[in-house]
Amino acid sequence: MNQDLNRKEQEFQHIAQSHRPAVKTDAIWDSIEDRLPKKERKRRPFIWFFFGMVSMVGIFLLYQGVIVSTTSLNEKQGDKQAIQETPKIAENETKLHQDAIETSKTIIENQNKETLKSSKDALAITNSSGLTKVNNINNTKIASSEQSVSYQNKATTNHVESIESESLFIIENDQIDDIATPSTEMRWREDFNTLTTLLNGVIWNENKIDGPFIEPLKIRNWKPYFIGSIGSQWSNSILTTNNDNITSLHRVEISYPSVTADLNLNWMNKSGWILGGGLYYNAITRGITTQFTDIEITENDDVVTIYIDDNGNRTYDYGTTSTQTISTYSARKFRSNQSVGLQLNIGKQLITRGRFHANLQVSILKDLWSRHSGYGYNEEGITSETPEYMQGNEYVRPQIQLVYDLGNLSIGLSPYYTLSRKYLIANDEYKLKNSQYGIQFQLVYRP
Amino acid sequence: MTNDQLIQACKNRDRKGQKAFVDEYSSYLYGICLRYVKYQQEAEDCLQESLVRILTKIDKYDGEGSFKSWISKVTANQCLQHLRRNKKHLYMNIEEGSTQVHPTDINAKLELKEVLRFIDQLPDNYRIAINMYTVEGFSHKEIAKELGIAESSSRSLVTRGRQMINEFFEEIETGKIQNLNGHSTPFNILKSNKL
Repeated sequence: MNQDLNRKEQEFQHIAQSHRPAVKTDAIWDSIEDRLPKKERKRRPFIWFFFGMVSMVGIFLLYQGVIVSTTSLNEKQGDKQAIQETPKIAENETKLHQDAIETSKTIIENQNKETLKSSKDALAITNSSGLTKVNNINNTKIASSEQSVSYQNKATTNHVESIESESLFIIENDQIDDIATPSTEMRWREDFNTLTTLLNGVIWNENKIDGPFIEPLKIRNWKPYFIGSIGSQWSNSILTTNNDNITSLHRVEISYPSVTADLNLNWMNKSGWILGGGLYYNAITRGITTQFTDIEITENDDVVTIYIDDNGNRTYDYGTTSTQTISTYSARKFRSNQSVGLQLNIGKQLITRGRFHANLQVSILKDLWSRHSGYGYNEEGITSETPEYMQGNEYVRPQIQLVYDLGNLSIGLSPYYTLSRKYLIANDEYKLKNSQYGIQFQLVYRP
Repeated sequence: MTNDQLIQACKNRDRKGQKAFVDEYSSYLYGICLRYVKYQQEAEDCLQESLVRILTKIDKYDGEGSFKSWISKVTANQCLQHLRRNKKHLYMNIEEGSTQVHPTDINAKLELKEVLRFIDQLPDNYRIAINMYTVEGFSHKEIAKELGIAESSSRSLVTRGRQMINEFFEEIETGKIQNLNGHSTPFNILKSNKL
């Protein structure tokens, strides 16, 4: 409120402000009630979109985790079976060895018995013939045979013991390396498998390593990859008007914080060409806007303004063209531009140096849903009285993707520029065209 | 319901609060509209637009400054926008406005209807400048921005408008109005400069 009013002017002000003409408030209320904002649940599309993205990534990783888990589990189950079978095999082998030993013993004993028997028979024959010499010889042979049998038995026993001890040694080592250590991990894997089974509700064909989701995405010579991005952007808004008194107006706005996020599925062929698409979200929400405005005001030629100084001298102003540059810094907490839509990507891998890649990608974005409200030109603003929903705006977004591979996962940074095709129109008088510069952090997954 | 409670209810989008606001302030805001827009129907349209705008943007009122001052400015802005939209030039030849003069009761004191008539008889550019500066309390910077003119132009308009107000008071106080035999009025100050 101006403080330099004199008493008369204050009285004038007081009287003027005391004017209370009769007005039918009920009729006015009836005519405006439908246009007034209703109490509504606060919408937080960004938060929902964020959680949606996190959920999708989480489900995807979980899915991949199950695959890895299943694959590993299959391998581990094979190992486990092998491990479980190892003692049996060893036991069987030992048993076979023991059988062989027993057989050998039996054979040797039989041979020895036969040898001994034949020797005894021969001795009996010799004895019966009274030949002491022969008896002595036979006795010597018998002794020799018995000793030979004894040696053979001993050698066989040593051999069997050697085999037995070797087999037992192998078994013990196998049990230590393959059974004792993985048992904890196996239990964890089983728990994890149970958990993921519960979460997913179904286990797919274990023989299909990639599962039912990834497999159909594989196209001959074109490898799929998922790419999720989140970033910040700076808005460059060009405001034009058909106001008679304003012949040109260029306003640059830098709005922050503003957020962009998208989730895409792209394919890349061996030549490095990229094709794909996905879902995006753009927001300039409740941010701070810095404005730099160049405004040229031309008064109409048929308008004459007459200025009179204290001496009664008159100055005629037949209309002038003046250019003013107005720089303002304003916090516009009420500003809110948001859109969700689909994008189509086409690009080319330009540079590959080891793990580093540089891609050029051009995306065409199409709003499926959008809301713009709260932008303004002056203090009160040429605002949209209610949030304006504008469907069907399109954008072109060229961007450079700088990617560093970390195995299946890659990380990247991507500067971009987005140009919108359509104007945002307020009060049939002002047109706003937005373009954004931004940078995104990207996470790439190649199955 | 106190004024703060009323504002809070409107911020909460409470229908009863919004209705109470319309009942409470419509008359005051209508008075502002009539000072900017001459025709009653247009003033009513401006009033409705202003009420919608105020109740939509009431979140922007942060409690700093008078609430009445804030809604006055919003309404004044709405009226100016209405004038712009209807291609009514805010700057007219001052002589157009000064030719319409109505006699005033020679014994009248300074009453509301005289003030209103005085305002009504002013050329559009002075009427708007006086309303904005003297009544609504806009600064020269705000006036310049709203009207798309230089601040120096705003100062010139307001200075002259204030001079008119003072002369209007002097004529009322000195009773000059009686000696003019009804052919001249306090509004003749508009002619006294021999434009």
